[in-house]
Amino acid sequence: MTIFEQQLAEVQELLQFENYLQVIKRIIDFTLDTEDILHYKETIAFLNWYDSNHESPEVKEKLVDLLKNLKLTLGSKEIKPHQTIISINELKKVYNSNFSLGPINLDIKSGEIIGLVGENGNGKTTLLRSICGELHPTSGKIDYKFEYDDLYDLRTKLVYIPQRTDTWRGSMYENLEFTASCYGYKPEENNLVVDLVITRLGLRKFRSYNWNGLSSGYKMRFELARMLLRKPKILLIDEPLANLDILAQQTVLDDFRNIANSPFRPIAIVLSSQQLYEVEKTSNQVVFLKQGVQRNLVEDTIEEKHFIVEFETAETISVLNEKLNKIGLLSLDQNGGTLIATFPIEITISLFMKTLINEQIEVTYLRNITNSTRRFFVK
Amino acid sequence: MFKNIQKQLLLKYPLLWNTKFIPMVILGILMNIIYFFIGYYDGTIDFTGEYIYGNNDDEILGFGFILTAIILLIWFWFYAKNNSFKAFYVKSKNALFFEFLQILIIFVLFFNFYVVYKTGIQLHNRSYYSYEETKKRCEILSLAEIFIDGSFESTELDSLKMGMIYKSKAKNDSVFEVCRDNEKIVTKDYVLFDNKKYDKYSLINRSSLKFEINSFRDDSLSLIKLKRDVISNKSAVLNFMSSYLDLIKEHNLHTNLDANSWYNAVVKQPKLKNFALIFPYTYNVEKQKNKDYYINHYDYYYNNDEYVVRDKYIFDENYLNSSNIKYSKFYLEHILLRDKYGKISNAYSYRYFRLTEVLILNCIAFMFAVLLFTFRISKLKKWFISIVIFGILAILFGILANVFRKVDFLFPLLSLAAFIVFWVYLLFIMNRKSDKRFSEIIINICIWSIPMFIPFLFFFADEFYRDYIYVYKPYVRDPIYRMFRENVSLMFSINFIISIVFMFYMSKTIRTWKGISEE
Repeated sequence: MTIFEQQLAEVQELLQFENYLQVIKRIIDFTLDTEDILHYKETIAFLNWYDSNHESPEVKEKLVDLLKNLKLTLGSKEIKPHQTIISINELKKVYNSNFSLGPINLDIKSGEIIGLVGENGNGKTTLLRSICGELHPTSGKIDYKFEYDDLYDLRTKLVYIPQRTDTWRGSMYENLEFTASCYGYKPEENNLVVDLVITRLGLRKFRSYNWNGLSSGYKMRFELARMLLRKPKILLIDEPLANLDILAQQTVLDDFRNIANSPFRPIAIVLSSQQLYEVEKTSNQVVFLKQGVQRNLVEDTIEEKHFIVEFETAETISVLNEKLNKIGLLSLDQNGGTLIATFPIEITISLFMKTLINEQIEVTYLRNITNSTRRFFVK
Repeated sequence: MFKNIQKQLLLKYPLLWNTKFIPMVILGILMNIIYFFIGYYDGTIDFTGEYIYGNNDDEILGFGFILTAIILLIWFWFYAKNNSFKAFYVKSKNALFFEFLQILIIFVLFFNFYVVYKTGIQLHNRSYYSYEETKKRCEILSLAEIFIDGSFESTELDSLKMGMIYKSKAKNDSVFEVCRDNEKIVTKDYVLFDNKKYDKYSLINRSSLKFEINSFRDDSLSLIKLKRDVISNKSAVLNFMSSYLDLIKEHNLHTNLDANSWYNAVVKQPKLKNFALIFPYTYNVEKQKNKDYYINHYDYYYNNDEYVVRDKYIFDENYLNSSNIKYSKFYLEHILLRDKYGKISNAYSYRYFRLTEVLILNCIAFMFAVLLFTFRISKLKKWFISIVIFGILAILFGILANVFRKVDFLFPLLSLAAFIVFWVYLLFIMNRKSDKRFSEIIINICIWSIPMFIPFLFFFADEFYRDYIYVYKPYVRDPIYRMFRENVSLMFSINFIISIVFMFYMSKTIRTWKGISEE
């Protein structure tokens, strides 16, 4: 089964459960994958119809038809394999003489999402800026494994969205038309593609808005829309979740996953965030940076491994110490209102939960962080 | 309409949309058309109107520059938005050059309104009469001067008298130089015409007026013929006077003369002296309440809006009654004709805009285009720092050059040296390809130096040649010295073209430079 067939099956399943919003997003992705104006028109016609027929029983039928047509076109299209596009070897950047990033070693593949986590001021932005070419390495090398004419051409393929984005004046829609036009979309497909992209990113309602009329969350979506039109090799995005509510965070991460993992137009995404749980859920690799030094979750063999849980309870530390010692508690640390308990690696989450029940410890929050970069933060 | 055009451009030619090129070109052309018609209107010649000193140039230039500044600032406000180059959008290698060309064309279009205005005036001036007709009419006006209020030609130096006076002082110097230094130039009191002596204040020694449309050769030949007619051919003179009076009549101007009375008043045979002075000034029936007062020896001063006694040099004892000369009772509105036909004559003889003016305006346009272009390619903060550094260096070099009292030599030399240092630094950064360092500031100054390099080099070489190589020799015209003196306009013209060509290569360099890491 190809990636496309898998994704198609997922969409068909979503359709069965009438999760139309998700289905429409994925259909737009597929439509953009076709790079065919006829499909653009077909999907746009449906979207226009759907604007005033949300509740219509015909929705499902029309979506099924759209999917069928897309399947016919995309079924025979060549699927692009995920390849390493950037290799970072022993990258070091001494920045302002009092901060040093690295050494960093990292392979970035198309279709992958890499999460950069770490406390503030530990080098996440520096690493992103280094990858996008804004900062020149003090030592080490960033090897871009794709063709480019010159340094400017290279940087057109590396889209970096900083936390504070540049101001774009005029209407959002017009700016996206401008981007599409600069990137060679033909006049007759320009508006179609822009319509698809803004709908894909939930900006359909805001098409006539000016850039400065958008909230910071939507400005970030606007940047993503621009990025989609630019078709870069890699998207580097600094704290994309910072200004989003929890639901929007999940939606955006979901979008990232689908955009990155396109069977026909895969791109790599490197994002930095403080939202560990969400990033870990979405990312293929997580890089933790502490004072500029890289610690990869899956490759971390320096320290002895333990079973670590993070939880919240009303019990006192002394009581907890006594009760959890029964399953070999190694340490119990308090981090704000949260407790971090460390056990030998043989302890499992089931055993820990059984102990909680047996010892009648009431918890309001529980998370196994044995394999999470969260543990780097609390140590 | 603009919206529709812009929409089409946005979809097909995003760079043209971004620069707002088409609306600005349309606006620029419109502005030039308006200025052309203002010029055309200002080129109207009212032959019966009052003699007006000066022109509207100051108002036209002042208002034009304010209007241009407002339009360009509004344009800049929109154009400064959405910079695809800074956002690393895909761009062809020549895209930056095309962008620069568009900026340049817009600036050139908006800075040449004065030239267009002058062209409008010139075309309207020319439209009154054909070239040949203007030549003919100007010749009549020119020659008529001797019968109205023309001045007198200077007569030959009386070397004999001067030599006698200053014989003892002459020594090694020429008599003329000694006399000139002692303000004792003596001229003969007669002229020779066709081998016959005439008094130096006779009609024969009166001069005609030079119109640019007629050559000196034609003028002097016609004058000789007319003077011969004055001596021996009354009917020819009467015919000439009639032709002149026809012009007066054609333009509804005023006179109390006919051909005969005019002839009798001014042609006094045989010595041709004691002729009447014909009052040649503007006579406006509407405004003039007291004709006698006006005619009687007063001149009108436009600026003070009043009539004041006009001193006229005393040219002949015979005509001297008091300290002021007296005009006769006859008048002709000759000055008006002379003024109006002078305009038509000039319209055929000169370009109303000189190459120098066009070059100055377009050099300013080029400098502004370059300034704006650097704003587009660099960060606002760095751009301002560049301006400050540029300004400080200019002041510093100015002070240094003044301290050593060699402004014309040192200022271009120091500027050129600074430019070379900046260029070397930029090339070093370009070659190293690691980070931009100070080149974000330096590159702006390098770009600004492009239109300045050749002029500075030219003026420096000129000064260097004059100060260290050139040796003055009387009556010898040094070819290199002349080359520098006479080719400033040519140098600026070549500089304009070379600067554009250089910008073509520079825009490619800027594109590559942009890709270099910021830090």
